[in-house]
Amino acid sequence: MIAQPGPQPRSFVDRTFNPGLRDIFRMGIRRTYAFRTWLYLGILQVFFQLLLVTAIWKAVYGGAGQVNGVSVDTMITYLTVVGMINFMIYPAIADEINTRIEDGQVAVDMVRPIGFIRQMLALEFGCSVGRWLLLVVVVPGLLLLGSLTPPAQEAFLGFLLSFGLAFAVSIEIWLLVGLSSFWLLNINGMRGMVGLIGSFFAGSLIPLWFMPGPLRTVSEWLPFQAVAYLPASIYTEQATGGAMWRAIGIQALWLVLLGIAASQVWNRAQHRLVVQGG
Amino acid sequence: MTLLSICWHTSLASIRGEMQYRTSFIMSLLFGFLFQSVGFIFVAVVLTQFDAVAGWSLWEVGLLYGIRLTAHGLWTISMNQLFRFDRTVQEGGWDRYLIRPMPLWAQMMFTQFRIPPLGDFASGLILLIVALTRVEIAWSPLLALFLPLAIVGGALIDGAFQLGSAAFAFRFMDTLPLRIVFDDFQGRFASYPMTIFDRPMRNFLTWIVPMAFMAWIPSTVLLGRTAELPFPGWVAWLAPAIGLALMTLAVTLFHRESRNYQSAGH
Repeated sequence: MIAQPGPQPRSFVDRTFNPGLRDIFRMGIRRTYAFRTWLYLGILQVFFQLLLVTAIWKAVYGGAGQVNGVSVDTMITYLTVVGMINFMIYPAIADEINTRIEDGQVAVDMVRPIGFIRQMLALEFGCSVGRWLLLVVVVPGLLLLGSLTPPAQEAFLGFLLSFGLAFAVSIEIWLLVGLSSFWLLNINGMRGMVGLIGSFFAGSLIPLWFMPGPLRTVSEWLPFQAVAYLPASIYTEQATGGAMWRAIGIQALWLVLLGIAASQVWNRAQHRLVVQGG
Repeated sequence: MTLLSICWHTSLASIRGEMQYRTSFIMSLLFGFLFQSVGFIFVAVVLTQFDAVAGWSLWEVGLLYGIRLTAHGLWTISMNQLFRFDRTVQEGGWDRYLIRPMPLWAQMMFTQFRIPPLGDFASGLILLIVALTRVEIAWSPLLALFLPLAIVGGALIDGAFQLGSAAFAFRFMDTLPLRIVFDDFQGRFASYPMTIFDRPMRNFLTWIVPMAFMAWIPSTVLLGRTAELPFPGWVAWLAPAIGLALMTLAVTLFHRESRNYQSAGH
């Protein structure tokens, strides 16, 4: 059935805090450890990927110390930081929204006293924080395979700020993918495509500074660079001083733009709701 | 003859089933295409800025990547049933396999047909054909015979690890994570010349999980680069036999493990 639009559609994010959110957040953390095999598999894949891309980059560098002013050590640090970012950002929110629409649970979610989007965000934060606890294992592993040579203090602080923005932008992207299930009902293909294309244009395999001209231009116009390339280039001190602030500015801009997009989509989605099963 | 015709009909029926969801069908085919080629696109883009990867030019890597992907596609097309094998065992579906008057291998290979593996196979074949026109190979009848044999051998190596892992479903019920690890390993590490890895990793991939025999070693034979192998060049010609040997082991393991089957408890 198609739900009748209520007299007052729910706002994107309510302002009042509800203690129920804390419980959803905790549930997210617990859920991370309920599916341990898949968690470990995810970690293994991060390591495999890092092992492969560092090997390929070392091989293309050959004996060359520097290419375009970038040393092979910088390159490896870049790839390691990207690996860490990819581990820390987990798109639980897209799957969650999709599952809830697929089995009709969304009808119950939407009559709860907490807004649907806030519930989903709380769960996403829980799942992410759950993963972050594992950094105690992941960081030493990354150090073993790659390198996380610490940057100067200013660059490191810039990176922390930039990572926060990267996390927020990434959640907005996956929220949009998740919300598309109000129209598509099944987002498996969409999710895979965004994951694959997104990680390429985010500079996960090739930093933007090594991309040929046209490809680089495309990457610079897409939001994905804000997720991996910009924070990693701040960490590796490829973007310092003014360039660093410019990078952070681009991320902030995408944060606002995608935030507006997500709230617009959410407003429409509420009127498109199809409750399956039931 | 009856066996063949039954296989043909069950395959056709499942293709008709798959075609019912046209959008989803096209999306998954496209995604498969992209997913499988991204590793090569990556190298192609990198090689616009650099000359070679460990002395291998773009299309030499393309040949290697194409052999690996075609072999992988060949395996997944013929044995894509394995994808849902855990469930078959968990839900007691193996009972049905056991009572049907048809060889088990034929039932596993032909009772269901999924479309996405066709995407893997097609992208592999396209890449391989393009690469073959761009690299210089001193063709001889023997070499022309070696290439298809090597691809079949590669499919058997890929398959041996998948079938070998699936065998444990009879005992542990859940083998998908293990199969994903091997699939991931194959997709990532078998697609490039092993000379990019340092010695321990290269030895691991040559002697312990011998994915090196899927594509790197056959490609060195085709390109006349056997000098970079850690053993005499003629050994590389045995690559197809490695696949056969591993598959024999996997089948034996599968038969032994299947004795642990307990059916489902309902």
